[in-house]
Amino acid sequence: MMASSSSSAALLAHARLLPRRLPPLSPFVRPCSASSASSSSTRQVEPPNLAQLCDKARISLSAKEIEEFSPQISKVVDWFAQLQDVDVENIEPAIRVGALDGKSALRADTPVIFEERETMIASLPDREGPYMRVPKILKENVE
Amino acid sequence: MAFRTSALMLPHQVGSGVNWRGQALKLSSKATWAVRSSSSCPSGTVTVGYAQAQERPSSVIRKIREDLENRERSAVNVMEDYLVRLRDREPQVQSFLHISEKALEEAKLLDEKIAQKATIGPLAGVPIAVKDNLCTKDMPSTGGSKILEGYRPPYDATAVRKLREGGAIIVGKTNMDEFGMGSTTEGSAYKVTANPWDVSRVPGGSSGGSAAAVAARQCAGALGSDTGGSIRQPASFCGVVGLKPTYGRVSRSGLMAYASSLDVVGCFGSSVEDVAILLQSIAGHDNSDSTSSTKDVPSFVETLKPVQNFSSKPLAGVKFGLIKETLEDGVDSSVVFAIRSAAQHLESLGAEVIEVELPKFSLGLPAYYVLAASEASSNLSRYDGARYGNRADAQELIPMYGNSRAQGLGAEVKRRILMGTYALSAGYYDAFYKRAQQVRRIIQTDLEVVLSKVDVLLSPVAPTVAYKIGEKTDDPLSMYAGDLMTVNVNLAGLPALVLPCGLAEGGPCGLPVGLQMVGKSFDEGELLRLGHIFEQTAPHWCQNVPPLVQ
Repeated sequence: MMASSSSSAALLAHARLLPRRLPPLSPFVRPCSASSASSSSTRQVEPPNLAQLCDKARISLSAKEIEEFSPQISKVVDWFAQLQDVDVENIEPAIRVGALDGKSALRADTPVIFEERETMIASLPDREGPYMRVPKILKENVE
Repeated sequence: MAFRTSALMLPHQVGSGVNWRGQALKLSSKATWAVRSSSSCPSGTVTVGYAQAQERPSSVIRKIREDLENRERSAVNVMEDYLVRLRDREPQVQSFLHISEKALEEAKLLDEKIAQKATIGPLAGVPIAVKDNLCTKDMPSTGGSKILEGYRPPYDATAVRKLREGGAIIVGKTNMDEFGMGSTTEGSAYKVTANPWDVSRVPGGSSGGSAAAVAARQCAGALGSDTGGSIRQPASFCGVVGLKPTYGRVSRSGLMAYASSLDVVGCFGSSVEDVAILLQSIAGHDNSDSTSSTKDVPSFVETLKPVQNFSSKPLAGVKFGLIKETLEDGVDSSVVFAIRSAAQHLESLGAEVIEVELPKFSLGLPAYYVLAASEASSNLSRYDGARYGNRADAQELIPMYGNSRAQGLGAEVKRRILMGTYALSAGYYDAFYKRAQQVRRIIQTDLEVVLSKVDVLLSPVAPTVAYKIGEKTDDPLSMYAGDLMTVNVNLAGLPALVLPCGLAEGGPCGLPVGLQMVGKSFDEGELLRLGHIFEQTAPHWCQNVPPLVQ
């Protein structure tokens, strides 16, 4: 017992991290399994779960903001749903306008010196020498 | 500046008016335009729909160049004039987030070059304002967001660099809706810009600062960006000329990305010729933007003839298509009237105008918002407090991201990131993002088909003229609805030119209505040529300067 106390403390610390580390159960489970629904069917989609979206998008909203945004975002998502009624059978998605020119899209793979290195580094919110400094990524007692 | 009080040319009395060549002009519309006097307008008897008669718009950029070449004015004189006006009107309009401290110094350097008979660029000494989402090396670039407060980029955006290489002097950075997300410029984290036509109204957005600055003559021209109408709608609201180039015509390098498949950099001016000169300067392929086109950039300015060289029917053989769906219920009658009057004017110049139908037009709006929000949720992940801008205090990395974004980003930006995150979520991708891309294909094909039957499409830019500040801030969806007439053009990547075509009732001297001309891909030259002919021949109520400038 005594010997394992430090590792159980680590386990406890780990356990506290678990909820954040494990992917939350996704509310984005599609009600029907077909990957491309037949064009005429109006499909019901789950309303957004704002708290989980905030987690994914890494935005810490206050409870008040969640309350304020929820109906607004639900309204817009409901409005998006009209796209479900469009007949898109045999229509190729358009990722962009036109096609990329294979020649012009690629430039020669030759290094160039970026002259403004210092200006760029100067805009870092926190730095140590030439390095960008950020808060702890892992807790010290967790492997 | 002559100020006529004649009621002869009022739109509702045009039946007894004359066209630009003095020929009788008949309009069938019975739309009524309110006529009232207003003490805030110069004569006190001015009527709505008619602010003042003045000379036709001419290129202020060309004038600056001629003056410098003929030594009539020095670059310092030119810059001082603009800076005095800029500072004078800034308290009312609030179009700038930052004013350059070096503009006068740069003008002095230019004068020295001129004195030494050195060659000067096509934009030498021209005071230009730049939207704050375009990076400028020597000035802060915040994109209207608190998260980038005080940020100074290490390089100039390509469009800015090209302007500077042409000799232009950047006078400042203009206000905008945060990262381009908004239609009023009220979405700026810093200030609310006013419309120079009526300071209680919005200038439109998201490039509202650039449009208002040009309208208030605080600069000779300005750069903006257009993802779903952000150049065209403020141009319409502020009564200036705005050009959204074809996707890929102008490099996006150094433009803060919002929705990369839709974003374009474009320009504002007080005449079509100014806009042509600016586009000439910023267009072309750029190694730093793989989506920028390698197509040749033709001479846009060369095709703009002086008005005295026009034939009696300068638009003979040109076919315009008026988009029926943009003139239906829900569009203000004054807007419809102004557009129909403009169409009749084009007919009087020899053009053929037909109505075209685009039944899927309204689908472009939800498709646009799905695509824009999805791309934004990915593009804006870079604003996390780690590399630039404001960082929130936190002991660990993930809460630092979350708090920095929560504190640094505004409500509309957060909403769009969250909606985009939702639309891209596993399992929903097909239902939203892919489907929106399929609708984009439908819109692209439909527009391609109608543009094979006509040369240029015509429509309003927005269903209303400029509305009051605060009027639409509570309901995002009603704000989105105002973008219906512009977003399809971005989905199809087409070029579009907006120019003033009349005044509707409202404000001290009326409120401008813009005409949108949509052209074929990479056909900006034709749009500018036709726009120039319209501008130089249009009935004089189309050509006005806002009360603030009078």
